[in-house]
Amino acid sequence: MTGKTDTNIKQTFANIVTDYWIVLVFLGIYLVFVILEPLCLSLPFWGSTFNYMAEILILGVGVMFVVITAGIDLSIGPVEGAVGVAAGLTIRSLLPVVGNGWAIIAGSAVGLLLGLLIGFLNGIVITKLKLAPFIATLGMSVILTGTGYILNNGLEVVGLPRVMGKIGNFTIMGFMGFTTIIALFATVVFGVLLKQTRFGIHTYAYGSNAESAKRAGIDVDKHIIRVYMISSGMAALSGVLLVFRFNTGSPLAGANVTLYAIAACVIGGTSVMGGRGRMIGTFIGALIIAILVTGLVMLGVQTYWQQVSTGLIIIFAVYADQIRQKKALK
Amino acid sequence: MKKKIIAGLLVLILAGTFSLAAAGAGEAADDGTKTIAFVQGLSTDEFYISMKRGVQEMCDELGYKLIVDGPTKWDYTMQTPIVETMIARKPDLMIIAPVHSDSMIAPLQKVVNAGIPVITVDTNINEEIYLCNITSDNLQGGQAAADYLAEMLGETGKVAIMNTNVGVTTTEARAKGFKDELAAKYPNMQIVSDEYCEDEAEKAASIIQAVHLKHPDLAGVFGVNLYASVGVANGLDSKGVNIPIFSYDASPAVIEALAEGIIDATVVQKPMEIGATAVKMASYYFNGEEDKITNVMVENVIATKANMDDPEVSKWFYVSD
Repeated sequence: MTGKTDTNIKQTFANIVTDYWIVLVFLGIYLVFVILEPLCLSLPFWGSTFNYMAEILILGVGVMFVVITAGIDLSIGPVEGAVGVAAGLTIRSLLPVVGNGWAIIAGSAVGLLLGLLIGFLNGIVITKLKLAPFIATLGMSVILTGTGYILNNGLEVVGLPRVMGKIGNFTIMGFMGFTTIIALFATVVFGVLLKQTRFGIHTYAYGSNAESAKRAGIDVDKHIIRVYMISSGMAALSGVLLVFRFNTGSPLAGANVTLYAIAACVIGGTSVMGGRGRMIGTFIGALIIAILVTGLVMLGVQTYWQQVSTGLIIIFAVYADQIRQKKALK
Repeated sequence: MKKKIIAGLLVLILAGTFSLAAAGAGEAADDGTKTIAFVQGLSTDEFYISMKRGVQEMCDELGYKLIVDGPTKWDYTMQTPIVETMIARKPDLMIIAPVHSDSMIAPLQKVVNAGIPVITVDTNINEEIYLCNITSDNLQGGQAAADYLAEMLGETGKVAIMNTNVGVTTTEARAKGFKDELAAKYPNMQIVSDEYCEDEAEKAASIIQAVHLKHPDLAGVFGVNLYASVGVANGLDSKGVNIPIFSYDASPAVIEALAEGIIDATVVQKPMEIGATAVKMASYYFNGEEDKITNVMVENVIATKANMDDPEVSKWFYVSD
C-alpha cells in the first residue's frame, strides 16, 4: 500500500518535472543571477525584465498558434514596424480634424485592422496558392519592411499627441508597465482560447495531422487563415503599443524581434513540427529571453552575450524536449 | 489567354527596361553640362537626406546635373550594385558615403578605373583612391558629447553609453570618441555600462533600468542615436529618474525629444554643409584647379534646449524631404 503511494508520488513528481522542467531552467538561471547580484531580487529588476518581455510575449502568444499548426510566420516583426508607421500617420493626419481622442482611437483601429488584413493575406497565400508558410511569410516580411519605409520615406512618425505617451507609460504597483499588463492579459485570454475551446482543439488537431483534421470535417483553410490572422493581429497590437510607449511610429520597430518571439515558443516546448505547445511555456520562454538581457546587464556583461546564451538555450531546450518525447513513447 | 497575359507582361517589362536604359544613356549630357552622381549611405536617413539637399543646392548654383541613389539599409551588399549602376550611367564624378571602409574599396576602384573620380563624404575607405574626403567625424562628435556632459556634471560621476549594433562604424566611432575623451581628460568620471540595444528603444529602456538599479548614482547617459537615447529617456523617466541624456544627430524626432525635454542635448553634424563642400571640391576638379582640392573636417555643434531656437544652431537641424 505504502509502496504504491510512494511510486504514485514519485510518478507525479516525475511528471511535474518533465512537464514544467523549463520553469526549473528559468529558476536556475535566475538563481545564478541572484547569487552573483542580489539586486536581481528587487521589484524594479522584475519591472524592467517584464517590460522587455512584454513585446516578445505578445508576438510569441500570437505566432504560437501558427507554430502549433506546423507553420511559421516570419512577418510578425515587419508587421509591427509597418503598423506603427501606418497608425502614427493616421493619428497625425486626423488630429486637426477630429481631435486627440478620436484620432488615437482611429489610428489604433487602422493599425489593428491592417494587422488582421496582413494575416488574412498570409492565410490566403498559404491555403489558396499553396505556398509553404516559410515562403509566404518571408515574402510578406520583405514587402512590409519596404512598405514601412515607403509610407513615410523611411522616417519615424513624430508629432503625435503627448497623451499617448502618458497612457503607454502608465505603470501599476510602481513596476508593471501598460504593455506588460496587456501582454499578461493576452497570454491568459489566448491560453484559454488554445486550451479550452474548439478553436484550440482544431489548431492542435491540424498540427498533429493535417489530413485527418480535414477528414474529421474541420474547415482547414478557414482555420489556417484565422490562425495567421491571430499571429499578425497580435504583432499589430504590439506595434500600436510601441507607438503609445514611445510617442513615435518607427519603421525600424520589430526588426529583430521576430526570431525572439519564435524562440520564446520553442524554448517553451512548442514543437515546430506542430501539434504541441503550451501557453505557460511560451510565457516562460519569453521570460528567459528577457531575463538574459536584464540579468547580464546587472552583471555588467555586454548584451550580445544574451544572443549567444539565448541560442544555446534554444538548442538545449529542443534537445531536452526530444529526449523527453522519446521517453514518453517508450 | 493566360499565355497572352504573360507575353503581354513580358513585353511591358522589356519595354520598361529599355526605356530605363535609354534614360540612363541620356544622363551623361552631350551639351557639356557636368553630371554628378551622389550615392548615399542610407537613403532613408535624415542625415543623408539633408546631405542630398546640400549637394542639390550647390549643383543648382553651379549648373551641374545631379543623379542620386542609396541603399535602404546600411549594407555594402546593397550599396555595391547601386555604385555599379551609377558607372553605367556615366557621371563625370561620384560623391559617395561608403558604408564600409574595406568592402567598398573594390567597387570604388571600378568607378575610378572607369575614369570617374570619387569624393567620399561622411565615412571613408581605407585606400586613397579618392580625390578628397569631407566629413564631420563621428569620433570628434563623441568627444564633444563627452566634454559637454563632463561640463554638465562638474567633471565627476558615473555615466553609461547606450550603443546600437556591434560593428556599425559610425556609431562605434561615436562611442569610442566618447570613451577615449572621458578616459583621457576626466579621471573622476567612470563609464559603468556600455551596452547595445539593437536600435530598439524598448530594449534600451529595460537595459538602462537595470543599469540604474545597479548604479543608483548614475549621473548621465550618452545614447549614440535616436533609438538609443529615446529608449534610455523612456526607461529612466518611468522610474522617475531625471539625469542628463545626450543624443546624436538632429533629425526631427531628436529635435522633438529635445524640445519636450525628453533628452537634454545632442551632437549636431552639418550634412548640408558636407554635401555642398563636396560639390565645391568637384567644381575645382572640373575647372582644373586641383591644387584647391583638400580634405575638409566640418565641425559639429551641440544643441541644447537653451540654444535650439538660435538660428545659428537650428539652421543645421536635418530635413526630412
